[in-house]
Formats: sequence, C-alpha cells, structure tokens
Amino acid sequence: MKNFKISILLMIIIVSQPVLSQIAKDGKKAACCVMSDKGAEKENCTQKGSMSPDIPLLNQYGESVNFQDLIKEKVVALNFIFTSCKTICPPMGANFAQLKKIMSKRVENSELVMLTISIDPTTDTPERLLEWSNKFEAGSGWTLLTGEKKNVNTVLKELEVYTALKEEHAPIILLGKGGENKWIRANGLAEPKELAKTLNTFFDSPTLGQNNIKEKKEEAFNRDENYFTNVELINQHGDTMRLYTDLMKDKVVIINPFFSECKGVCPLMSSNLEKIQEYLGDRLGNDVHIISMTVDYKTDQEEVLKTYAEAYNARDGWYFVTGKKENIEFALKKLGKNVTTREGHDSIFLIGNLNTKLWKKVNGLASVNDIIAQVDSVVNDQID
Amino acid sequence: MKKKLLSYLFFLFFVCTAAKKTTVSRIDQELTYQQKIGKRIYTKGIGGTNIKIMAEMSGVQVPATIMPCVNCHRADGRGNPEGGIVPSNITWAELTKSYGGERLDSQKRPPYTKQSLRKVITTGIDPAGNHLNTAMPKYNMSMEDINNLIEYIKILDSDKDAGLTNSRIELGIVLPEKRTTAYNKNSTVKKLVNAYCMAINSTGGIYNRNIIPHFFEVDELQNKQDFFMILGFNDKRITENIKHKNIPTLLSFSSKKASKGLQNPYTFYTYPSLTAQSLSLVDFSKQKKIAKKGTKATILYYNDPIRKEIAEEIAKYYFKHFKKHPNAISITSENIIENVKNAQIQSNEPIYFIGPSGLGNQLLLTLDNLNKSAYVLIPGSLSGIDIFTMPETFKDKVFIGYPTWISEQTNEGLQAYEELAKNYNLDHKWRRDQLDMLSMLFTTEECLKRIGRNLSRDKFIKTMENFFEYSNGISPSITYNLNKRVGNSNVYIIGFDTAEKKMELITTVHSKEQ
Repeated sequence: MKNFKISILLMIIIVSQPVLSQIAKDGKKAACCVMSDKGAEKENCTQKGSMSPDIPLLNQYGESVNFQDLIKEKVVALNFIFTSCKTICPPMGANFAQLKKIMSKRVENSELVMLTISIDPTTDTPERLLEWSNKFEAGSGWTLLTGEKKNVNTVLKELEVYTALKEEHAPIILLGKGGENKWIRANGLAEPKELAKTLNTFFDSPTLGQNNIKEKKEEAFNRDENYFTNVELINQHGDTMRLYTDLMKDKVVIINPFFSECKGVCPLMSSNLEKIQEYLGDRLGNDVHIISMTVDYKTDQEEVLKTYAEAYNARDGWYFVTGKKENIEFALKKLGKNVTTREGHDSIFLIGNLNTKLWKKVNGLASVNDIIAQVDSVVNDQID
Repeated sequence: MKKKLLSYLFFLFFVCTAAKKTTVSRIDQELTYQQKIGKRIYTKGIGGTNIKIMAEMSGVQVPATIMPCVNCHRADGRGNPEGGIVPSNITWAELTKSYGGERLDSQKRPPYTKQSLRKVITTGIDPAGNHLNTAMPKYNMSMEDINNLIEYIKILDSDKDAGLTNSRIELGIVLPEKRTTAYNKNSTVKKLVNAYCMAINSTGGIYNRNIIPHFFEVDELQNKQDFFMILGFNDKRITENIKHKNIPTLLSFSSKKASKGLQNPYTFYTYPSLTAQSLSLVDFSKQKKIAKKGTKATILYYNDPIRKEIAEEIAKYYFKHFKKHPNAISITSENIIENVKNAQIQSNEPIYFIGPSGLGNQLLLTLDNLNKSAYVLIPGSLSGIDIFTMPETFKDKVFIGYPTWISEQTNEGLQAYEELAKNYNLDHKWRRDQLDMLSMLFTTEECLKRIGRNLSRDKFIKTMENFFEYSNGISPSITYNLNKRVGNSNVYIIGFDTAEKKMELITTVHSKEQ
C-alpha cells in the first residue's frame, strides 16, 4: 500500500525529459513544489530573476552585439569554449558545426541561432574566435561571442555555466528559446543527431513563422491545464466545477484534504482556513480560492459538505469539493493527496500561484499567522 | 675481503655507467622514418599516405588536424584532464604493463598489443571489449599510418624536442649581420653569452642540463634546426626564417609592429617594436601639448627600408591624432643642411627625427643657425643625439624615447653583470647590447627553472605565457600571456635636466602595437 503511494508520488514528480538533459533554469517560472507545470524542479527552490536586458558583447568580427537581441524570440543552441582549450573544445566545436549542418534550414530562416560564448574573454579576442571557428568550416550563421570579462561573466552566471577556472568548465550545450530563459542543459559531446531532436521540440510544425512562436507560447501556458485537466467536481452548493478552469486558472489556490467525519486534524485545518478566509477578505473568490477536497466521497456528498461549510462560515471562493469516485480520486491523485483509507490523509496545505507557477507546501496545523505569511508570499511570488 | 668489496664496487660502478650510457644513447637517437611520420600524426594529425586521417566522434567526421592525439594526451602521452574528461596515459610502458590496466570506471583491460592498439584507435573498443569514453574519437587512417603512429607511441615517452637531451640544452644565438654591425660588437656579445653559459654550467647547469650556445648570423638560420630555442636582438628576418619550425624565440624587439600570440606563438619580445616606440613620441607630443589639432609637424628620416617605413607610420598616426599631414623629408649627411633650410620649419613645431645618430647634433646646429627652436623628438633605438653638447636653446626641447631606462635596473641585476665581466674579462663596450642579451638569458633561465626537469618546447611557451611582472633586474618587468608577446610596453621619455646637467626621465608612455 505504502509502495503504491510512493510510486504515485514519484509519478507526479517525474515528468519525462529528454534522456540527456535536465532543466537548467526556469527563470521567473522556477517552481518550488512538486506541482509546477513542468513538475520536475522539486530540488531546486531558488528563484531566478529574468536576465539583465542589456549585456553588450563582441562577435567574432569585432562588432558590438547585445546578447538579448541575438536570442530574442529565436530558438537557441548555445555552447561555451575557450580557444586555447585543447581537450574538449575542439570536439565540441566539431559537434556544434555538425548540429548547424543538420539544422541548416532553420539557421538559414533565422529561426535558430547558433551561439558560442568564450569563457576566457581576456584572452579570446574576436580575431582568435574567428580563427578558431574557421577550423570547423561552419560558414555563416554561427556567432561567437566575447567581450569585457565582467559582461561575459554576467551572462555565464545567469546561464549558470560560470566556473572560476576556465579549465574546469564542463562540455555543456544549452538548448532553449530566447526570452523564455528556460534552458535544457545537454552534453555538448553528445551526438548532434540527438541534440537536433531536442532542438526540434522547440519548433512546432514544418510551417514556421512568428505566429507559431506565439501559439507555442500560449500552449505553454496551458501545460497546467494539460496536467490538472478539467475533470468535473461538485462543490457544496451542488455546482459542477472543472478542476483547472473553474477552480485554479489564474488564481492563487490553497488546497487541503479533509473529510467531514474527521475528528482529528480536519477541524483544526478548517478553523485555520476560516481565519485565512477572514484575512483574505474580498480577495477570496477573486484572486484566491480555497479548495478543501474530500477524501471520503461516499460520505461527503453535496448536502453534508454544505452543512460542514456553513459550520465554518465558508463564503464564495472557499469550495468544498467532492465528485464521482473516479473524478475526485483522479483530482486527489493529481495533487498528490490520494489515499487508500480516509484516515490516511495529510494535513498539508498546497499553496500555489497559477500565474507565476510558484507552489509551496505548508503545515496546515501551523499557527494561522505563519500560514498567512506563506499565503502572502505565494501571492507575491516570493521564494522566502 | 677488501678485494671482494673493491671488485663489487667496481662492478656497481660499471653497471651504473653502462645503464646511464644506454638511456642516453637511446634518447639521443634520431627518429626513424616511421617514427617521424608517427610523430606528425600524433602532433598534427597529418599522415604519410594519400589517405587523409579523419577523426570520428559522436557521428561527426572531421579532419584529424582538428583533434590530433597531442591535444588531449599531451606531448608526453600522460594526458591533459579538462572539463571532467581525463585522457588516458598512453605511454608504451603504461599500455603494455603485463598485468593490464584499469580505467577510471574501474573496468579492467589486458595489456595492449600492436593489434589491439590498432583496433582501439580505429574502433574505440579496448582488448577487454569495453567501449572507450565517447570523448575519444575513432580515427580512420591507412594501415601504414597506424603502424607509423604505433611506432611513435612506442618511443613517445623518451622522445624529446630537437636540441634537448638529458644533459644538454642547445641554444641558438643569432648575432647581428657582420656587414651592418661594428666589427667588435658580435665578438663582445659572444663573449658575454659564453661567460654566462660557463658560469651556469660550472654550477651544474639547469636541472643537470648544460646550456650550450651556438652562434650564427640570420642567413645561416635556414639550415639550422637543432636548437631547442633561439635568442636574438632585432627580429629582422629571424621570424620569417624560423616560421613553421616551432622553435621558441626570445628577441629584444621587432622592427615592424610586433605580432600577437595568435600569429606567431613562438616569439617573445622584451621591448616594444621600433614602430611602437616611435609612435609613442606622437602620444607624448599630445601629452606634453607640443602638438594639438592642426599643428604643423616635420618628419626627418634617413632613407633606409626600416626608417622609411617608420616615418610613414608616424605620418599616418600623426594625422589620425592632429588632422594634419606632417611634412616628411628624407635626409643624408650631404643634404641635411640644405633640406632643413628648405623645409620651412617653424619655431615650436615638433620634428620627429628618424635619422642616423651621427646626424642628430648637426640637425640641431642647423636649426639653431636658422633660429628655429623646434621640438625634436627622437626614438632612441633608431637614432640619437649627444645631449651634452647640444646648443643651449634646445636644452628643454629635445626628447628621446627609450624602451628601457636605468631606473628599471636593480643593484642585483647590475652586480650579476659586473661579476661576469670581472670573472670572464668581458669587453666594456656595447654595454646596452650585452645587457639586453643578458636579460634574455636570465629570462630563459627563469623559465627553464620554472618548468623543471621535464622540459619541452611546448612547456617553454606555456610557461613564458604565464610570466607576470617578472623582473630580472636588467630589463623592465615583463608580462606575457596568450595574446601579449611584448614583455614591457613602456617607452621612457628622456630629456635634459639643465640644473643638474644630466639626462632626466620625464615620463613613461604606454606604447601600442596595434
């Protein structure tokens, strides 16, 4: 039984990723909890600001360029070298050149940007970079960047590839989409064919263009919907509510499991929620939803929930939900709250901001002020 | 008993000397033809047959010239770890150990044989059937070439650069051409170098290697290959003669703008190029407000190839700064008076004098007679003036730019020279040249000492590239890096101190090569 629970949890945590890669950075959308849209950033709770807007660099022809302008709205392949590097940089260069060859159509259409950043900007003059890249006979469409050490280091740090000693840099290639600041870290020595496959996931269909990028963006926003789905649940008023669209979309949500006959932790959680409801005032229903999900759908039908809700003076925006067996179980499972016996439920509040993708787990039995502080931090998208 | 011990000792002595002899002779051996080709494959990725050697890695084929063995395994075969990749030690002894080897991931393999080595280089599968790390490319080459390569790997460990043995470092010293140099200058320099080498060899050399100097003129350089490294003064034709020979070279300065490390990684200069030294005088004119936008200027130059080119560079640089084309006039000892008269020089305009030193004071005299007290700026390495006998009116108007100055010399540095001079009876003439050469010898010594016993040309270059503000007490402190090949970029502007009646350092100007 326990195993089953764990495996379900694991299922939630692990969302399939390309074999060679891991998510490097999720920019502002970096999420803390198991239920972000990607679902994979469990371990990394640091929030990154978006990249500095203007970082002047030099390309291999000595022209001044702006890093953000180069990658704006483009799919990007980005690797890191220094020209006096003997062991891993030449193979990485050859790989990169081959990747460019495979992706030549995309490069020609300016949909894909191939960038190489020197991690030794004090030595690597534009002249050196040009000479280095010429060895691979890659032709145009490959921009090599150097610049003032301070500027280059800023970029490297923001991309999380900075190493104090240049010799210690790893053969990393970043694949991603400019502006989204979300990169897939891949092994720069991996087969270019495989890298190309990963790169292609950033493009939608053979018909390409600006519109596509926009659509892709919208679709990305709907990943929450894809995950949580619009499974139908029923609230204490007997209304049908879709899990994502009606209960969660664009809201900050506070979710807890409970059942009405629970005499232990549930009354404590519910009275905490009542105080939070008071604190939230008008924001409840507009910006914030409280969702108490029953783990005992058999007992907790509409009428029972209504009585229970009234006992805690629940207003609009605080929903006690039940539903068909398969529906409510599915919803609980998606939130990691499914149990085999009703007494097995936890007392943890999931507090999530569907706009910023920040999620936190909070002890539902903690003092109400502490919980409120956490609710505020999620509303304001603060990690700490 | 005694006899037995004696014979035993004698035996030991014999064994030791014999052993020593065999290693020495083995190392001194010339490479066979096969080994030579093998070495080229190892270091450059170029084979001896028509079949181009290709490296294949993660499905990509590139010429082996991009990824020759030496890149990762280093010249000594012991590997150059980087970015988490640790290339194997591929010296023959390591590969063929009778009990096999162990990989980083603890997988074991039997000892390599020629056959299994051929297989692993071409397919990436070792004799135990393990696949090598993907960072090791698979190499595609002709059977002949792979055999050449293996022949070289066999002796990789003991192969040394030319001019380097276990007991000697052969040093090439390029002397100035006799026809352009005063007759005893070369012999003076030669004496100094010999004295220095004798002194250092008498105390055990550097890591037990004696420094052996060989002297020759630049024309003889073409046929010489057996030096570990070369020292010389001016780069005139030296660099073009040793191009592609990959010999580390230390020179005083370049006549044209000095190349960066990228174009010629093997040459290191102590001082700025003659061009950069001369252009610094224009910078100084600006600093000192001798010239400003639109100021008229004159360049007087002697019409030989180097001086003419420098005069042209000054004219270009002057125009860039002051938007006025200087009046460039060529002079000789015959026409100097007439040409200066006709040059319509105005008082207080800058004159850049790029003529022979002998004409310097005549120029000042002529100007004095014409009542034109112009500023005279002189690159000290190309021409000069006798500052003590010049007319009064020019006392604070003559400036000479030198690539070094006595303030940069330390007592220790000078003492080292004086000691050599005393012990080895050195000439007292050509002191500047002797000191320049001694400075390069000291720098070489420092570099060799930093490297240690395990010496190679490659390491010499790398170590030189890490020199940071190294001072040998004779030259200004020098710094090199991957791009920088001019050790010290300062030009010292010297004027005349009328009160003290001596030469005086006015300021230093940071010269620019590019």
